[in-house]
Order: sequence, then structure tokens, then C-alpha cells
Amino acid sequence: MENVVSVLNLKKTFDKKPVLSGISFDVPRGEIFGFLGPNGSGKTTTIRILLGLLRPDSGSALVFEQPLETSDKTRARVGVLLENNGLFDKLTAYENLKYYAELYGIPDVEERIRELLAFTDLTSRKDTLVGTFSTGMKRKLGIARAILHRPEVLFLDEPTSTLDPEAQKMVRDLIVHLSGDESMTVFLSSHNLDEVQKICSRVAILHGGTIKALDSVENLRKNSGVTNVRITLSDSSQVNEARSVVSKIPTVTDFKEIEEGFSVTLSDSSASPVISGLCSAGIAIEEVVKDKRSLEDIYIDVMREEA
Amino acid sequence: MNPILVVAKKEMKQIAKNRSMLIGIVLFMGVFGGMTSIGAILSVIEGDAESIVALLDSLMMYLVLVLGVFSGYFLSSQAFLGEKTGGTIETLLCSPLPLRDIWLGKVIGVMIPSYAIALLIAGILVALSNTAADFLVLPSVVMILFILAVVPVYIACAVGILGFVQLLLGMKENQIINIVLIIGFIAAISVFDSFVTEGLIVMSAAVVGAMFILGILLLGIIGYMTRILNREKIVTTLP
Ligand SMILES: Nc1ncnc2c1ncn2[C@@H]1O[C@H](COP(=O)(O)OP(=O)(O)OP(=O)(O)O)[C@@H](O)[C@H]1O
Ligand SMILES: [Mg+2]
Repeated sequence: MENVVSVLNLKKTFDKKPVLSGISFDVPRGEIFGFLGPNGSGKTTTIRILLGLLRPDSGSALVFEQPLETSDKTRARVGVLLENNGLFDKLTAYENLKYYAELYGIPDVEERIRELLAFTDLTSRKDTLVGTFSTGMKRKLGIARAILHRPEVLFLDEPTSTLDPEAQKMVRDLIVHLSGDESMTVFLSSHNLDEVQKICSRVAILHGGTIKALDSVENLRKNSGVTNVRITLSDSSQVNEARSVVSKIPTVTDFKEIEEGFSVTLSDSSASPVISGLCSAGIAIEEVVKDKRSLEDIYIDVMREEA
Repeated sequence: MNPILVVAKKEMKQIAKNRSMLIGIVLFMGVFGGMTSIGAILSVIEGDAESIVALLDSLMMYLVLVLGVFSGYFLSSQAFLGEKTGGTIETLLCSPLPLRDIWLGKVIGVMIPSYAIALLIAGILVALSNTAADFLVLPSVVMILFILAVVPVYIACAVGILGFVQLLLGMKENQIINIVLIIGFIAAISVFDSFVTEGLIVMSAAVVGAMFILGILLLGIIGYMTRILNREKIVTTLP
């Protein structure tokens, strides 16, 4: 499949302090790509380089196979919402959108503005100065502004960080809609791991100047190598018996007594040795719950490994 | 609409909406204009027709140009530096516009209202002269040419160089260099004005034509200089 974004061995140093020390990844068309990493890890820097706002020291960062700094036409196919919303406080919501609509030369200006104001729930504030908007309202208008010209790829730098839960959901739904119905490619940096887990097809975790993980959330979970299983026993008095059975199984690394049963940590993803062991010892099982490791667990692991 | 004009239109709209800035400019103009011209006006208040026309011409040449350039100075800081302090420039830099078109759009958007203010001042000077005299006082043809051709070009030069510097440099450097530039501009106009007053230069259509050509050349040089601007320089000098 065609790659919309391709980053190869990208390096960037600020005042002798390396921020990116050779990162590589691709984002194919139609993907929602989550870009994670702690504060100061270089997410915004990577996005700025991709957008042609900063120059790489070495390596390349291309969008539609072009460096955006010099390719005016390609920039027209890109939508951006950076940390700054790109809105003018002294202009109204309508005037702001109209300005960008004319800048990109979109054909159906009035209709498109009406559609996006309605979508972001800002129709009634159309003629209000943006300077009087709340932070979240500005962010929503910023999103409308970013997709005004129907870009093929959308770069979002922490789009929901200032939004209330309802607005966060609105933005999440919008991203899923844009990627699905309008086959837009979305490059999303975020600290909201729950959100990323919900909508991103693939994620990269940036830390210490390199990419520590790059895969689908599903694969990261599968390959993270550790699984937790909670087992409720029909007769909780059998828990000590269960302990002696289970602790003989080589993949079990941890055993913890809990209410009505126990929980074990496994060094691989299979719980069947535990279940069959208990069954053949005649211990009746009421319920088995395999805890899916969340993206947050994986993220924390990656950070710990680094430390 | 051409994207350069879209940028220019937006700058003008923002200027028109920034009342406090406009009031500040008007107050400045009133005080500066009054202080510069009051002595001269008093000295010829009883004078003959010829001296009143001569006074009007000399006041116009100096005040219209100086105050037009001053307007450009005040208004450019919102259009260029303001977009850096407000952070909106990054989004604008992601648009399809080449850097020079962004610069040019802003120069046009600041130059037009600055020139409008200059014309307004010219109008006020003519009106004041006519209230002082009991016959119709009009500026000379050379002066009209000067106001129509020379003034807008030099306002554009001032805005162009200020805008260029504001995009290129960081906040601290800008605070110093902008003031140095505006003082340089005003000093150059004052020197030229004193040459005219002392009769070293006699204003004629040829002199106006030469000034116009020089201004256009200067503008071309400034436009050429914008080559050294790049997006990274702008983004890394954001506050
Ligand atoms: N223009 C610059 N000059 C000097 N250093 C910079 C510049 N821009 C970024 N940095 C440094 O580069 C590092 C990465 O910054 P960046 O903004 O890319 O991080 P981030 O991952 O986006 O962080 P956050 O999650 O807080 O948004 C930081 O240490 C920052 O101080
Ligand atoms: Mg950031």
C-alpha cells in the first residue's frame, strides 16, 4: 500500500542536545497512526519536520514522497492542528474559517463552513470573536479549520488535551469517521493512551530519541510477553491446594491470593496449562478472567525498560 | 481570490478591528503632527498666498511621508511579529503559500491602511491651510505626484523591511532592530527634508520620478532579501 508518511533515519539536534537520534517509520494510506512518548521526547519536533517547519539534520521525512518545505502543492493536501489552533482572537469564528477557506481556494466556501460549524456545535457562536471562546471551543474550531479543505492526511498534535469528555468523544468519533468514510490518513500525537488504544490502528512510542515500539495495539499486547489471569474457585478453601498445583507450572511467575480464588502472572499468553492442571487435580473452577494488558501497561513497561 | 490578496485582506480586517491600536496611532499622529507643524504655521499665519502654499508643500512632504511610515511601523508589528507571538504563523506556514507570498500579502495588507492614513493626513493639512487662508490653498502638482507615487512606495519599503526582520529574528533582537530601523527611516526623511528646505534639492517632477524609481529598486532588493527567510528560522524564533 502507498505510504502517506515516510520517515527514514531522521535525526535532529537542538543546541547540541540530540532530540531525535535516527527514527524510521511509515504510515500507509487510511491508517490512524498514534504517536506516543513522554513530554519532551520529540513528538512535536517530528511533526514539525514532517510539515516542513523544521529541517532534519540528516535522514528524511516525506509526506506523499515530498519534503513539504519545498512542495507547495503537496502542502495543500495536508491538514494540521498543532499545539496552537491557528485562530485569530480578533476575528469571529466565521471570519477565521472563511480566511482559511479562501487561502486554500476551496470551491464551496459558505456551505462547507456551515457544515463544519454545525458539526462542531458552534453555529450559534458563528459571529462571536474567537478571543472570547473557551479553550475547548477554540480547539474544536481549530479542528474544523484543519479539515476545512478536505485534506488527505491530517496531522493532529494532542488534539483532545484541552477538551471535556464529551468533546473528546466527539473528536474521536470525527477521526474515526474521517479515516473510514473519507479515507483520510491521520497522524495523531497524544498522551491519552485510552483514546489511542480506542482509535489507532498502529502506534509508535518515542523515547530517548528512538522509537521503542512500533506495531498495532493488538500485537503490542500479544507480544508484551506477560499475561495476568484471575481464577475464581467454586470452593475457595481449595486455594492452597491450587497454589501447590499451579506453582509447579513453569510459565507461572507469580501467584497471588485474592477473594474467592487467586491470580497468576504468566510469562506467555496461554492460560491453558493452569486450567488443565487445576482440572486434573480435581479443583473446580468457577470463572477465568484473562486481564488484557492495556496500552497504558505496555507504555509504562517501555518507559521502565528505559530507566 | 489570489492567496496573496487573501492574506492582505485578512491583515486589513484585523487592523480595522483593532480599535485600541488605531486610537493610539491617531493620538500619536495628532501630537507628533501638531508639535512638528505648530511653529511653522504660526510663523506664516499672517503671510501671503505664496508662503502659505510653500508651507503646505513643505509640511506635506515631511509629515505625510513620516507619519505614513510611522503607521506602517505600528501596523506591521501586529501583522508579522503578532502572528509569531500569537503562534498562528505555524499554521499559516503549513498552507500552500510560498514564504514570499505570505510576506508580500502582509506587506500589502499593512501598506494599504498606512497609506490611507497618510492620505488622511494630507487631507487634514490641506483643510487646515484653507481655514488659515481666505483663498483656496492647494498643494503643488509636484507635491501631488509625490504623494501619489513616492509615499506609497516608501511606506511599502518600510513595511517590507520591518516585516522581513520581524519574521527572521527573535523577539529580543526585534525590539532593538525595529526601533533602529524606524529611527533610520525618519532620519533619512529628515535629512532629505532639510536638503529641500535649504535649497540643496529643488523638488521637481524629475526628482519625484527619481525618488520613485529608487523606492521601487529598494523594494526589489528587500523582496530579493526574503530569499534568506525559511520556515525553520521563523519557527525557531517563536517566543
Ligand atoms: N526550537 C527549539 N530550540 C531548542 N530546543 C527545542 C526546540 N524545539 C524543541 N526543543 C527541545 O526538543 C525536545 C523535544 O521537544 P518536543 O516539543 O518535540 O517534545 P514533545 O514530545 O512534543 O513534548 P510534549 O509532550 O510536552 O508536547 C525538548 O527537550 C525541547 O526542549
Ligand atoms: Mg508536543
